[in-house]
Amino acid sequence: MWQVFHKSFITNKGYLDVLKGLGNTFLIAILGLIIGIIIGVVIAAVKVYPSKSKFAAVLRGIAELYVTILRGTPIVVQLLLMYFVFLPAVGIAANNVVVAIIAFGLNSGAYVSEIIRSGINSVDSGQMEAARSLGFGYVRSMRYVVLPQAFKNIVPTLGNELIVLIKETSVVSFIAVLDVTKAFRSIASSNYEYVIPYLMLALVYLVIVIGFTFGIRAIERRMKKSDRRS
Amino acid sequence: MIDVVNLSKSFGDHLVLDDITETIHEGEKVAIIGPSGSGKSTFLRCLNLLEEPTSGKVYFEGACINDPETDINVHRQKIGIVFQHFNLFNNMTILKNIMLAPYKLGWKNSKAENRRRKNEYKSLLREYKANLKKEKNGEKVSGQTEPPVAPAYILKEEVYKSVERKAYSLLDRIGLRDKASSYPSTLSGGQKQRIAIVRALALDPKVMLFDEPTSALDPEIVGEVLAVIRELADEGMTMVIVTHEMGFAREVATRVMFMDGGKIIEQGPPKEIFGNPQSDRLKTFLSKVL
Repeated sequence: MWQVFHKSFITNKGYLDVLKGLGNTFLIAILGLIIGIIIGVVIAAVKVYPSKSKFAAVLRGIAELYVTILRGTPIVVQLLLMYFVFLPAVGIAANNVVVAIIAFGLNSGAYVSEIIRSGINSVDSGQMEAARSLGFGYVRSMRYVVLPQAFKNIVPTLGNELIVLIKETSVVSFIAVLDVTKAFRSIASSNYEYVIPYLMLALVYLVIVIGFTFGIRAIERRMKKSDRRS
Repeated sequence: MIDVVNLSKSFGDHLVLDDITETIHEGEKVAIIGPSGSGKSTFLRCLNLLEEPTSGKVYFEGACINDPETDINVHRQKIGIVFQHFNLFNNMTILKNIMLAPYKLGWKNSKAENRRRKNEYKSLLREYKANLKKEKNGEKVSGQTEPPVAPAYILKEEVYKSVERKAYSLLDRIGLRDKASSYPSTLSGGQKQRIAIVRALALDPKVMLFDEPTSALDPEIVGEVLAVIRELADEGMTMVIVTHEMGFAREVATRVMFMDGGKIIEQGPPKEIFGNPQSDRLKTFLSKVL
């Protein structure tokens, strides 16, 4: 069993695919989260901004629709639609990794917007009032006072989103992206020996997730320190 | 200084302020007393528009501040407010709490001033160059015939330094200089409220509003906060205080207002309000709290 795996992993250079796949997995998850945060901030801003104008109401409606659709359909379906339907329809032939990054970014934007919104709501309304009472406008009050506190509150949840994203990227082989799952799957199916490759695959994800968990905890601790410095 | 005209406020169907017309003059120290739910905090919060009036007008130094055309942020800098729950910015040190508004807003104003100086200099320079040309052609010249002197601009560091100096002197005043680099979460309630008061003072407000400043404090530290407010009153600051501290109201206020059911029922000098109440409601209220 081990020899079969050794042959396809080392001798046939299966590890090269695994490394490349690992790179794609990270790339899609991290860039996806960054795009997600940018979209999330915009959507959260639209949702939170207290304006009674018609224009704001329309924007809010669009934001609501976006979140509903992207949270209401599986990421695999979004990925397939993006790659096989929407992009060909507008005549763009994009690299499949790029498509995966965009699809995951759009998807996580919907989740991140809710995370950010709850983060903003978790900040005591007295903070905003105090900033306004000192003569700051809404945007500056948000920037100096509310958002820094909101961000501190959402670091754990954002970290969680990153972990979810990393695991979810395992479906990108649906559009023929070589990720770490795809790499181990090829190794397994090349000689019908499944046990070691798939156990290894599980281990790889586990190690990545544990690593990120530690990283997030370290950031949290750092932020707490600035909270209690006397 | 503050004129309130036909002010009404309702939350949904619930009428909290019922057609109040009132004036607060410069130098006055007005204490607002009354049972909870009487609308006194809402009234105070309407004075700097933290609560948007349902109808009526609020004037500050002659400008109607609830007119949508008015830039409320400019007026709020002149109206300090202190909250029941302090509302210090948790993400900043004490020093930054005090400095944030004067520094950011001060630098904003300085930038505008720098722009003005630059434009003035540019137009003088244009005039001077035009005059040079005219002179060459033998025409008569007037105005700027000498090269203009480049203006001195206000530097960001200067603004910061001067605001910092002021913040430290405010901290000295309440004896909390050593807390400058602490975060609010490490302070006691009394310390937080004293900081909140000087944070509002850092903008040199013309009037100070206090919204039950001692209600969230332990009884033994109420005194230290009242002492700061009293000192401020002695310096001649105009102020409006919503309070349950009757002794303090009697001592410091120049006028006491009794509110109930969204109306000002009775008002006058503290001696008369506490010594010779007229309305039954005030009599009942005083018998309960004194």
